[in-house]
Amino acid sequence: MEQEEYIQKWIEGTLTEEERKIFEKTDTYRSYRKLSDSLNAFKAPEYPVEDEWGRIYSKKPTLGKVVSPNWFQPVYRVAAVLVILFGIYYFFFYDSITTVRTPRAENKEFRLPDSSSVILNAQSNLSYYKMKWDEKREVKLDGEAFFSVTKGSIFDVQTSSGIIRVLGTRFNVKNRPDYFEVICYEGSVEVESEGEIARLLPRQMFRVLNGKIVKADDIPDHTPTWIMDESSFQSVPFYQVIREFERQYEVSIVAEDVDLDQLYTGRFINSDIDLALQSITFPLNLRYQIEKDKKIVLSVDPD
Amino acid sequence: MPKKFLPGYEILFLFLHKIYSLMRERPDTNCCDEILVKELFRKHAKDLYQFLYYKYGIENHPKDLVQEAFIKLWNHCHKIIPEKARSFLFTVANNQMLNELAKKKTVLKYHQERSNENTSDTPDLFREEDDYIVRLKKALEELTEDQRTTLLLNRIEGKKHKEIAEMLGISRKAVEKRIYTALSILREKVEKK
Repeated sequence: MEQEEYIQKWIEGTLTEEERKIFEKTDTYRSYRKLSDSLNAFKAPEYPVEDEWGRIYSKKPTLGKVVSPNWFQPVYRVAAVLVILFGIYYFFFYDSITTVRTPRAENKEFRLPDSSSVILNAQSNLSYYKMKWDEKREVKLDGEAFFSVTKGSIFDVQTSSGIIRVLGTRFNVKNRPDYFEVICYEGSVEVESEGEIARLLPRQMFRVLNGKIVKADDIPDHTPTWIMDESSFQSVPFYQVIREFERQYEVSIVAEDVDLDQLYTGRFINSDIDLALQSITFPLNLRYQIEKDKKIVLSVDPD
Repeated sequence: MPKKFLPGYEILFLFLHKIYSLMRERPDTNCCDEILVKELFRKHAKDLYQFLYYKYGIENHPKDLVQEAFIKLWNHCHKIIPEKARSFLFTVANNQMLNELAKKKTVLKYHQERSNENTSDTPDLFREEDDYIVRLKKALEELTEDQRTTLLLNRIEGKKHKEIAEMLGISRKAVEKRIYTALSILREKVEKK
């Protein structure tokens, strides 16, 4: 092996034991050893780390920028704590409202958390607190719905016109402007409205019309007719019939010289507009005309 | 009536996560923390000082260069992550010297270890020793900056080839080559009578 190679390997520290022994006997090695050892005389003066840190630290006033993140961080901390608290509150205590709505001309059937079923008539909405359902069965209704409530604790239906309270039964609630009607189909229903509490048994009806209470106990059907696509009326002012018609067919009805307060008893189908129009006009001696933009004009039949 | 008063849980979760990561990352993403700077100083100042001393010599005030480098680090603390602090310090200190017009010739100091008892016995030998050291000093000062730094960090400070390679941003092989070249040059110069 060449001398240079020995030196290189010596520097790299890759000499084998034997190679090292051979190399250490050479003059070259002694010369390098001496050189290498002598270099220690040139060692850099000891660096006083702590003293030098003190020197830098004494210049700290010029380093104002350092301060800013220090006050910024507590702000983040406070913000984070607030957010976490809010998050916990939101997660455990905040109860979001579940709302189901139907547009005009559309029904919707769904189940509540206790599997009670609800069929919502056109243009209605029903809301309830999902998380509190186990404590309190309570729904808010705006519009018309048919409930089949499974047996259990008290079940409340809140409406703008009154409260309906049941334990487990089937009943229909119709809560429309100037019109409130509850019909019981099974079990019993307690209605509180206009300062009166009424108890309904099957086929009994409680109605509030323009602030007046009307009761009936001869409802012919076992279920509301509208769930079978038919709207039925028992001595209902004609304008209420028109409003229901508009909800079921997405039309606007204009009545010319027609007595809107006359009572109507009858039914119209919710799936065939011509048939339905005939059903509401024929008994009252009216005629109808369908115009553009879903407008229907009713007028008295001169014949 | 709105369907839900507040946005969904997912948005809340993302928000919380963001806050959490801000809290976690913020102290680590830059060097703007006194305790951190102190830690960095204790860790790197000595190496930086030795590097500057061997490269530029005592006349160029390596201690002050270290100070300036750290003050620069502190002034730019927002932009530097702690992992990059070391290379930042070395680069800055080195650049400061390159830009320095009044840069002085490298001068190294030496201290001779001489036991007193032997002094009178063999004065000739020590004369020779003295001469050797003086020649070595001159030869060292004549090496290139890179050769000298590499050699002395290795031989005096016992820095491993790999460490030096990282410090200077060159390969390990290049470090070994430099040491070899530097030693050959020195040997040739000190042994020339």
